[in-house]
Order: sequence, then C-alpha cells, then structure tokens
Amino acid sequence: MAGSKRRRHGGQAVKVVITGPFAAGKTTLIRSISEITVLSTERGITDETRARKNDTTVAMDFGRITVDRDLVLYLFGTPGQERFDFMWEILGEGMLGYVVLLDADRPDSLQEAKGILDAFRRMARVPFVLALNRSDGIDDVEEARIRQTLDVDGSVALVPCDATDKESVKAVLLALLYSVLDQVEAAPAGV
Amino acid sequence: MKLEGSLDAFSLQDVFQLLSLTKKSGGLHLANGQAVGVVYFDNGAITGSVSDASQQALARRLIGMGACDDAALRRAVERACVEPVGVARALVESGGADADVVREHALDQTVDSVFDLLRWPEGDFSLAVGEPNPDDVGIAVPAEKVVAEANARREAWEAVSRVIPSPDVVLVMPVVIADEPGVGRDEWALLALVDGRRTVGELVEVSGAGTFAVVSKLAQMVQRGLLSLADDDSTDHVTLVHRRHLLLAPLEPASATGSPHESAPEPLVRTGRDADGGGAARQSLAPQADPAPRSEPAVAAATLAIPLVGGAHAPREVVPTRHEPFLPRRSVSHPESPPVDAPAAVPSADTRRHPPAPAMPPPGVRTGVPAGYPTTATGTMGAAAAAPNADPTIQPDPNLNRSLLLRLIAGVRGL
Repeated sequence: MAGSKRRRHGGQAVKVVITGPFAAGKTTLIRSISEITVLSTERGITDETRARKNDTTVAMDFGRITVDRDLVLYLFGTPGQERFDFMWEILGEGMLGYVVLLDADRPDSLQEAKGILDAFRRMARVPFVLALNRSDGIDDVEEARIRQTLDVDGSVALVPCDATDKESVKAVLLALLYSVLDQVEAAPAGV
Repeated sequence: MKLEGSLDAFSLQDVFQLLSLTKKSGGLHLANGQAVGVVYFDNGAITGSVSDASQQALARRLIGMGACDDAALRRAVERACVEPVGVARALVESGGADADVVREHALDQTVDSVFDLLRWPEGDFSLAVGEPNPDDVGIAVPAEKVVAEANARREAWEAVSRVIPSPDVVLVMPVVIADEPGVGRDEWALLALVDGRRTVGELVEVSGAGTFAVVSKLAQMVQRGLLSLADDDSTDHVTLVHRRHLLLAPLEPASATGSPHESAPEPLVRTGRDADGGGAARQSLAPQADPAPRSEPAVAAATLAIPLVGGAHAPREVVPTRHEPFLPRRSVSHPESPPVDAPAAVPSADTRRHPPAPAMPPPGVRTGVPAGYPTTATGTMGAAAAAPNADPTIQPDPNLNRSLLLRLIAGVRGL
C-alpha cells in the first residue's frame, strides 16, 4: 500500500510514524500538533513502569494535519512497550518516514531506542530523524554519544525538541519532510 | 486492544482511513441514539455494511429485487436463526440466490449504508476487532473507494431532496403527460409500485433497491413528468373526469338518470391520502352483491381508472411479515488482532526523475557530523541504508514526489 493514498474526492493522505522508547513523549508530541482529538488508547499501567507514568499507549495514537484541501498528513504513534511491537509493521506500512523520539531526561532509554530503531531499519527503507525530547539544545558530546549508541551517522537529522511545544514539533516534522525530500531528489533519474 | 470514540472528534472518514491504513479486520459499530450501524472490515477493506443493524438489509434488497423464492428464503432464515450467518450469505451458500447477483447488490448495499452513516450528524464508534461479517458474500472494497462513492451520492442527494423533500411524500402517476414516455426497466419496476398511496419511504422498502437509487430514480421521473407529488388539495383525475362528464348530462339523456353521485362508482384507486388518514378505499373488481346500474360515462370512467391510476396491480405485501433473525449484540471486547504482513511497494521510475535542488533544513536541526565521529558518505538515507537491512518490508512510497513534499512542507510550516 502506498503511503500517499487517494483520499475523498481525489485528495491524498500521507502518513508519518512517531516511534521511540516508552514514555518518551510520543503521545504528547502528536497531541501538540494534531488538529483533532488524538485517538489515544491509553490504559493504566500495572507493571514496574508505573513509576514513570500512570498511563501508556497500548494501541496507537492517531493525529491529523490538514495540509490543504486535498492533502492530509496523518501521524501514527507506536505503543512504547515491547509487547506491542507487532503493531510497528502495521503502523509503518505506507509511511513516508518516521521520527524516533528520544528522552533527554533518561539516557538509559537510548538502549531501548536502539532496539526500536534497529527494528524499524530492518522493517523499512524510508528516511527517519531523531528528536531529543525535553531538550533545548544538544552539545557535540551528547550528540556523539547518541549517534554512536544508535549507530546513526551525521546525515540523519538530530533535532532537540519539546514535545509540548507546537513550534518545536513542527521543526521535527519539517526535518523529516526535508529528509524525505532529499531522498526523492537524490534518487537517480530513471531508477 | 480498544478503538472507540466519538464522531464529533473523529469523522467517520478518518476512522475508515485509520482502519484502512492499519489493515484492520473487524466490525466498526456506530451508534446514534437508537440507531446502530456496522461496517465490516477485512484486512483494511470493507466487506459489508448496514446502517440499521436490526435488519437484514442485504436480504431485504434481494427480496425486493426478486432474487430468491419463498422456499430458499425460508431455509436461509432458519439457518440464520441458529448460526452466525446473515440471510443473504445463507442464500448464496445454499444456492438459493445467484452469487454474482448477490455480490452486485452487496456492493451497492454497502455504499448505500455508508452513505447513510456518513449523514449521521453525531454518534459513537467502537471497533470489535476480528468480528466477522455475517453477510460476507465475497466482496472486499477499498474503504476510500466506498467513501468516495458515498460522498458523490451525498452531493447528488442535495438535488434529489429538492425534488423529493421527504420520505413521507406520496407520488402519483399523472394521466396526461407532455412527451412520449420512455422508461428503463429499473424505472418501470418503480412505476409499477407507485399506487398513489405508498410513501417514498415505503417504495424504498418494498423495492429493495436502496434509498439513494430509488429516490434518485423517482426524482428523475418527477422531473420528466412521469410522476408527480400527490397534493392533498388536488383532485384526482378520475374524479375530475366524472364531474366533467356530468356537465354533459343535459345533452346525453341516457346518462342523466339519477344523481351523478349515485350512478358513478367510487374510483377504484384514490390518489393522495384519503380522509381516513392515509388509507385508501379500494374496491374489489369482483361483482358486488347488489351492483348499481352503471351509466356509460361511469363505466368509461371506471375503465379509465384501472390502468391510469396507481399501476395495474393491487398492492399487496411484497415483504412477508416476519421477524428478523436474532443477532446477538456484540460486546465491546477487543481481542488483540494478529499482525498483518505488509505488501512491499516497489519504487517506480516516475518518482526518481526530479533534478536535485537544495533543501533548507529547519532551524536548530543538527545534521553535521560531530568531531571524532566516524562518517559515511551515504546521503540522507545513509544510516538506514548502512544498517543490516536485507529485505525490508516497507519501501519508499513510489508515489512520493517533490511537489507533494513541498506542499507538505509548506503546510506544516504554516501551522
């Protein structure tokens, strides 16, 4: 299935996936920018992760941005817990790219992010960006640590962001869209 | 897993989009007051839909179209009463109805009911994951196609409803029309049901062809002058003829015997609603016990009345009276759905013909390589491409192009 689906009367719908470790702020990010009430199927947490948050996304988040009359951008947030990783491929199908949301306050979540990112790389050959939530800037040392841990080179954008701030979320999405644009433009003609 | 919400937060089209994109299977239950509808999905495609879950919509349509006989219907209903299958599916599986015909009607029924559901101003939805379509007769239509067709009907509906403003409207066939009539088979089937008493809603019910199809055809025939809306204040043609014949009485002694009202019979079929509240007095064509002698004009009028008003047949129950097979109400419990394998998309040559152009990264984005970090020259996709990625399922969308992305970028910038 193509990511840019025909929608309504000839309109199109495209899809971006927001993924990342548990409690990284994926739901918040989508809520900050979606024009509709996010379909967040959150449930109370019953295991040891309760210490970090009270509810978690057990199915998906779903957000919508109407770009213009004929174009809609859908945002799909993945569940953060591994037992729901079967959802990733379903949610990822047809996406034009994905955002891996990291948590600056939890350096230990980088290993969790690495597992998710590796799974997504195996699953999808589409552009992605890294977004470091709860961060207003990234120094060289921190960036090097993140890239080394995740095995991501400098060609992949790493964006500091605040998932509660709409402008910050816009910057993350723009970084991804520019990456996708780069990919499209870099593709050799006729291939 | 649970997927439920309110239609004022999520339009039905958005929910369809979500279920289609995620290739869900199950029944999407919609409730608006007492009305309950269900749209069934299989792997993201729509396999059927009902806008009134208390009825066997597809079976009713088949009955209206004469697609099955009494014996086959009876067997199908008996099976549907004890098994979780719909009557239409039971008809197909027993050979009581032609499978191709049923599928054709199932498709139209699905679009029709989605058309109905899209007109709901509010309501709640809930997905019962994995719930099978009891009337699955083998159709699977992309959700976007169904929605597009239903939306097209919604737009056409405005014009239709200007001609026929209410399902309570009663239609009559005018005796005199301006042009030579020309009707198709579908139109004829409806004309044969117009009797000057049935409302448009009842015509939809007995024809079985669905609200949009029936009302659209009726509206077209009204516009062509083949039908007209019954007016309580208007005089039907037969009464008019009687009255005017009586004006000829001074010149026709044979017709002047007795009072006109005594000699003229009641019209066989009255148009419009009668004084008894909508029920029409209908005389039998069989000889009466004490038939009054008829004058010639009266006989002529009676002869005129039979074919001219209300079609040639006497109305009878087209849909046999029976209760719908019991359908247990689904509990809103949502078992986890199994993962669905995604088909791989192959990039086409069309998307790879754009000349390179510089793209401006947004402020604050770090794309440089920090000192001391090893670099690779793999471009934007370098990291993903360099990763162990033998056969990724999800490939770049071949439909992506520069124009689309620039629109997206402009749209997100403008938020």
